[in-house]
Amino acid sequence: MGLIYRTVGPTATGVAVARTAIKSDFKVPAEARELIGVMVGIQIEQPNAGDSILAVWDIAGKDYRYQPCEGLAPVGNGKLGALDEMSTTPMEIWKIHAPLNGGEVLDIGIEPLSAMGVNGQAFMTLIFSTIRTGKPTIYGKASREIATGTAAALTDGTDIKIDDGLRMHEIWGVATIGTATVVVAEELLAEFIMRCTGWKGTQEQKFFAEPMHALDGTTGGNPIMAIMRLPFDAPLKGATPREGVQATIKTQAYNHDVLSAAGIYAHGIRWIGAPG
Amino acid sequence: MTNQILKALESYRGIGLFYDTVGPTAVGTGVARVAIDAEYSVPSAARELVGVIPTIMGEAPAPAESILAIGDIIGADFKGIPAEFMFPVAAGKLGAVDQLETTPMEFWPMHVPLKGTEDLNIGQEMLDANAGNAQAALTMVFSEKPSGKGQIYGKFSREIAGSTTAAYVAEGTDIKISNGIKMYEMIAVAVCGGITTADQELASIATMKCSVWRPIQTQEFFLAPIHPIEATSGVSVVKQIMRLPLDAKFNQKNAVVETTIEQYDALTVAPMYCHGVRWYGSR
Repeated sequence: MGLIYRTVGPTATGVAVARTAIKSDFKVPAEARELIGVMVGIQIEQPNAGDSILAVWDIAGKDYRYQPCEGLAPVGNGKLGALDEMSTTPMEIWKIHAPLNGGEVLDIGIEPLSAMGVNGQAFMTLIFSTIRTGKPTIYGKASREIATGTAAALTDGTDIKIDDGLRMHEIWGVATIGTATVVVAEELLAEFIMRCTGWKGTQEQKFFAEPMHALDGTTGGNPIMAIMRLPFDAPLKGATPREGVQATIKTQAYNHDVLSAAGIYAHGIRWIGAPG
Repeated sequence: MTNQILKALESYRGIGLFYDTVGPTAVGTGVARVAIDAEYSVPSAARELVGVIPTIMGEAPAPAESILAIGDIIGADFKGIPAEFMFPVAAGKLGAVDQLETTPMEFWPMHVPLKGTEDLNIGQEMLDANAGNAQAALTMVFSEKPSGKGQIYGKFSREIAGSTTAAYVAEGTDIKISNGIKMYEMIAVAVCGGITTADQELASIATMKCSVWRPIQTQEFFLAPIHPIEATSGVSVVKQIMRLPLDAKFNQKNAVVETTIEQYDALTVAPMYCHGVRWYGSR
């Protein structure tokens, strides 16, 4: 189908919980007819000991008609006891299938969900095709940070709202520990719960995230980060093939283990939207 | 890996996938089956247990501790027995009390038909004693419609002790299969169960033989070293895992799979091994 790869960034993310444009005026290649998807990377510059990054990317801009388009950047963590480079979860592909035309201008952004000690840098590889695949466009939205505290407890997160949705495509959850030093031999088993009365079929989804790096002491590996992405294609009640509906997804994070530093969780959903 | 789980589940779109969790439950330190949930009620909308995504962690682990554990699902109304699967293999660092690192979470397809009224007993069995407690948990993957895919059964040998000497060969316990139609996959894992010295490595070959497999009766494969062995700080002790598809047919429905390991390298602490088979079967 004539794949085309283009890059944006790396761009400093800043340290605050705020959106920063990786590139605010990216021009779609002239031959491109579809944005197949993106692969996002992030790393930290001169991290503090135990620093972490939990960030959401997005594609916006006046020419981009398929908003919201958000997904998760890799989760990054520095070592606990030493100033050191971060390790991150693997770069992943986020399929989008957005029809577009060459010359359109996209605004590509990154938003840390928790403040960092020092700057991060974010970058993205965009995958286009020269013909349209005919596959439905995938929209995406993330909750913002759920601070779960240090206790083993269930915490309510913010709702995620869908406009003009036809059916779900994916659910995801991510957990890490904020900029802090934790003690050794702690573990984090992170459970994610999502509920939506607008889903046809089962209206509650529960899953565990994969711990990508176990907790460590003052040397060695990284603090905890956990991530899970799962396909989920429940239709939305009341949607027709051409007309989407609104829905609200309620989120909860279940931190199953006592930690000496508070956990940070975020949920995300991806869905198929109404055409046009 | 998360992306591999996402990819593995992509083929199930359109059948109403949904997810539920079991545990986490402290499973103790001994070599015995412990129920993660002895009375798990299948959600009423479920028409198939598509599979499971298990996870396990150590709580207050000792240095260089490891966990090699299998899981299973039983129950009076459950049509998928034997339904054994492997938890990620976990091992701690060598020189410090620290958390265990595990091999990636993996999806274990099963395709067991359900009525939505079953009570399941979901268990975990460590194959080697553990000094500190562990906690086990699963994400259950259900669907509202049958996938139409063949039902997969699974069974594992228990621990095969390796050796501290090189060029060591040991036979494991046989795995007995009933009502087999065709193989689905074979699995082998290894982990070191104690403190080893720095700069040691382990190469391992698993062999499985079954006289009723057609056309080939013997399979051999290396295990992938997920973490090399290291000194008193840094990465974890040796753990290895390999899952390979195998579609050999059974020329009779009952079969015995003979298991063998070959350990190529000398280690200061003997590793432990385990084999597994998963197959399409008839009820």
